[in-house]
Amino acid sequence: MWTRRQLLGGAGAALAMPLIGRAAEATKPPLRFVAWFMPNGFYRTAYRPSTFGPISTLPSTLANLSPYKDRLTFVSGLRNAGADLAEDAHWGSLGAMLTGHALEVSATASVKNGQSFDQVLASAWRGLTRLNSLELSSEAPWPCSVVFQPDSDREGPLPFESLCAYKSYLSWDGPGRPRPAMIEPRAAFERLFGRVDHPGGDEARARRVMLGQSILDSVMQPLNKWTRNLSSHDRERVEQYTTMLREVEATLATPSTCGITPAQAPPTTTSIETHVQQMHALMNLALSCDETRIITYSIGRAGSERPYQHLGFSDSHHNLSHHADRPEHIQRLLMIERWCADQLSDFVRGLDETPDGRGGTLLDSTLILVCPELDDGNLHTNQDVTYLLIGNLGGRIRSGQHIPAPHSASHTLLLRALLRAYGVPQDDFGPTGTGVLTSVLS
Amino acid sequence: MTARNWSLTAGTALSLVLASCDNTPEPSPPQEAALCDVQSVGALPLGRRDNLTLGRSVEDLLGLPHINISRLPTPSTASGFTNTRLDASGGVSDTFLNEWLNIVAEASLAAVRREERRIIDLASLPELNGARTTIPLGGGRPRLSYMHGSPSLSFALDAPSGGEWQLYLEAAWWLGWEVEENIPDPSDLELVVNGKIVEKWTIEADYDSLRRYQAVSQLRKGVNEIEIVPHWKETQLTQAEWFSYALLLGDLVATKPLSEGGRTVQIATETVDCGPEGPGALRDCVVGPIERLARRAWRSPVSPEQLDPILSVIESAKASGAPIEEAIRYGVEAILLSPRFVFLQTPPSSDGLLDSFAMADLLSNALWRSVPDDTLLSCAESGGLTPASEGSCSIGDQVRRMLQAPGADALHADFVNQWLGLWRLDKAERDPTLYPHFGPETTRSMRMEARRIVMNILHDDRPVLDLIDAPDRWIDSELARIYDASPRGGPDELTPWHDPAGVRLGILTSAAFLAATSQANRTSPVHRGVALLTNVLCAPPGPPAPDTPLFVPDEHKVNPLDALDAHRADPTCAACHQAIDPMGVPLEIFDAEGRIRGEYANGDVINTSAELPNGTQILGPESLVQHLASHPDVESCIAQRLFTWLQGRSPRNADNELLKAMTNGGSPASFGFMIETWAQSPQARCQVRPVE
Repeated sequence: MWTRRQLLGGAGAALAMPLIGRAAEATKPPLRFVAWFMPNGFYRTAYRPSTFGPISTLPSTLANLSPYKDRLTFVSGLRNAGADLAEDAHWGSLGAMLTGHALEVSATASVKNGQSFDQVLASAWRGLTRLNSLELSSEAPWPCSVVFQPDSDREGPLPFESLCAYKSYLSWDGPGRPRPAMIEPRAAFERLFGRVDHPGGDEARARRVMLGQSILDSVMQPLNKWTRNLSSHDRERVEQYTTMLREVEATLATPSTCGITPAQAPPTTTSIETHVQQMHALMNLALSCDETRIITYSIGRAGSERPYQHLGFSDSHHNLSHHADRPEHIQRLLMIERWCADQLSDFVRGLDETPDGRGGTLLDSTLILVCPELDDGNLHTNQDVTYLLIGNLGGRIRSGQHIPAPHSASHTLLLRALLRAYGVPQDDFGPTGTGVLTSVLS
Repeated sequence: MTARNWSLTAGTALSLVLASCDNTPEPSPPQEAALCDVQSVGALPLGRRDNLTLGRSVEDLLGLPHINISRLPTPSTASGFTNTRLDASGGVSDTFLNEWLNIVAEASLAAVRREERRIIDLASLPELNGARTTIPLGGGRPRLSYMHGSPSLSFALDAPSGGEWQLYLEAAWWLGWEVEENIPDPSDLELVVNGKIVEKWTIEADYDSLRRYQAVSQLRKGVNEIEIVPHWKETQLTQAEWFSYALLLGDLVATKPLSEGGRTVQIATETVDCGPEGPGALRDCVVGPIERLARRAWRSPVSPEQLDPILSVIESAKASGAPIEEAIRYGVEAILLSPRFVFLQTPPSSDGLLDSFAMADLLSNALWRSVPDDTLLSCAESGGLTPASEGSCSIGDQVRRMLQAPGADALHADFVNQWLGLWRLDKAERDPTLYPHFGPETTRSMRMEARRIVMNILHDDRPVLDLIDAPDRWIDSELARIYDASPRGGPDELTPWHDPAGVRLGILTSAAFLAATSQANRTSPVHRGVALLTNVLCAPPGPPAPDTPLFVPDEHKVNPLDALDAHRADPTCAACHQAIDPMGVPLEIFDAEGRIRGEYANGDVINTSAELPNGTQILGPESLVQHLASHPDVESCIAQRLFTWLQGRSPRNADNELLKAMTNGGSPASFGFMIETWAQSPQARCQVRPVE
């Protein structure tokens, strides 16, 4: 099995290097953000502390996080605004998780959604790291299959069509522009640390890097004639394409300086167990090498039906979440949740064991926002979610607490508070209102 | 049902469409403008082409065998089809572009080489000598399956120059599960060139992909006789073993390095001699091939202003020390990175009617999921592919030609996959204690059969309703196990079969559909019912009420059908389930990999009879198939789904006229008829742009 630990053994002490570089040189300590999405939510009594106030014992699902109890903050009572948009909460929760936007279908055939929390940070921190952000998932989104009667005269998409996008993406660039996650650990590794072999060898690689932008210029510049007949909206898309392509080309031209060699890439796997572990190892590497400071990760897709056969049973996760209070189903559901939470705990421990070059560890500067898809998978509800924050950003967040929030208020209250904690205040973040859940701030 | 001549009837349907749009009797240019006023035509935002189309386009454009697109993120879709353009990014993201840059670099590396190359696809040889073509396991183009005892295979290779060539053959052998372990490897192969044995290979087993077997041989300029001679090892095989004991052959590839320091380069499918070095020499020799590549990649004429910067990049790469082939690669990369290649839509002319080139683009994209071929491009160049065009460049003639061409495999490779949600089989798992034989090869066989069912209906121009109730099936060793047929065939080795019991009719009783609608450890009558209502009847049920607990019976303890009855007793549930359940319950006789079973795990006999809301009794799978085959909505539902796949959006009210024409007013319609009717319609030919 490919793990970060094993990789460290191979790479020697190279890992400490980059943090002494860019990150340590900055005048302000760098902060980091990880969103960690849990499909189908968590079974409440094994995940939410039974009382508000200081945390005494952790609920059973999170038992392995006990060493970090003082750096955990539970926030309960908020409503994921996206759940309002559909009869089925699965459709809206993921897309709204970091944006707070409920579904809106426009007349011009585009999916509306706001910029997501991670991308607000990415805009503010633009250029500080080689990759502004990294989107990962251990399960590809659903191809949407929805069919419609030809009974509509409306221009543009029908509500369900837009819902497909909401059900598929956690991170959004801006109104209506989703950022799909990478699903293959090996592909993510290559994005971070380069390809095993550059086709054409080293000399060719150097020339390709040198010529990169002129290759793009040669086809982008004479586009005017082609775009003349396009609408302003379509022209904008072409411009977005060319701008993004130039940025990605530039990223490829600047290799990582972390000392991880392409030969250390994780082997391809079909085991979900290995996949999830590889993704967590990569997240640790990406942060410790300071390749990026922002990661969004989904351990499974929204409404995931994946079986976890290595736990000794083959029921679909989604089916088990509709346990109808049957004890044997709840028991299996809890095994899945515990396994997922244990992967998260291992990741947290890894961060806490990685020095940050300032005398602390990566965990001191990282906040992990645990994002449950639903507050109750059995009932498909999303009105009283418990968000879990791990890491207190060097004391900026009031941790060791279970904090009550105004019942059924939008979870954007929490996201706005976190933006303040990051020093990127945006009190009008989200579609409506300006409230901030200041009780989570120290 | 009988096959019909749709080429004649399509014309009739076209006049219906025209008549419905405009009542003036004589076709005239103003009428063309009016054609595009049809409200339904609508506007689609610009978006990139889907992963499959990008991959197939690069393969066809550069003459490469297989482009790996598995890392490209799947864009969010509308209407269940990946080619529909919806999300506001147009499907473009950092993740996509990162992978796209990698794909383009690798494809250019493979396509531009200082070598001459000839590729012979053995599966497309005119004389196969008893061997069979089969669809490969993981999808893609057909391969040759070469059975034990088959004679040698002869064909001609036309070499552009004489001398020493390197050859390789893609091959692997495969043993099905019926074959005893002590049976020897099936054969050695000899490669004979112009009557002389040049190499003898021992072919290895490989279950995932074909391996390359190398040889070196002198070839003469012009025609060379190539023979592949098998030496089958003496062995006694049972019939079952014989079927599971095959050699799979892919391409024979011949390459000849062009002289060291020379200036001859293979650019995609062309060999170019750049002659002696000198000012402008490189530009002069690549301008032709680069212009032709760009024209086909961008599906439109390329002006000198567009071409010049690409040629300049090639020249400056050369000036900075790159070998000639590397320099040319950067030009190929530029062509593939242009939004004109990546994006779907070519702007129409000012009146909204697609011009000849845009029409060639539309047809190749819709029917082949690829770029136009030379024939389509020359039709476009000569102003064909318009309603006024006659003869071989008329829309009708081209559509008919295209549907018989290899590229039309998009319909069975892609349409049916998306229509019936067979993508669910991609990473499907089964509980090994319940389904010990289930593995990746099982789902590949399932998908192959589903493709074959559609392929034959398309090629023989049979009514689309044959999808529902035709008895033709194709099985290999895996499917023989599932269908309880006498064992036959190896992997990739589909042989025709009819179910003697008459239960397996149409694609809905295929293992592919039955498994795609099941879970790891059980079937789901509800899921199957919803899938039929949604995809076959186009009458999707509403979502469950918010607080409805999901129906998850434990088959080991209770009879799922009893549990379903109880569920339906609740009036809230009954509203939808009285329509869903009778579609799914009759298929309960098939387990989660599509095998027939008699009872549930708790010992209860499975009762597959059900009652429709109108009181009609459905008495098992045969009865369900009969019900659907005679249901008036099924054909029009297939037309709706096909329309969505072709058009890139769901139908609206204003498309009803076209949908009616596609179903031929109630007479059985074939895929060919439906597709041609669509291609002639204003919906296909007009692309009104959004108002500024």
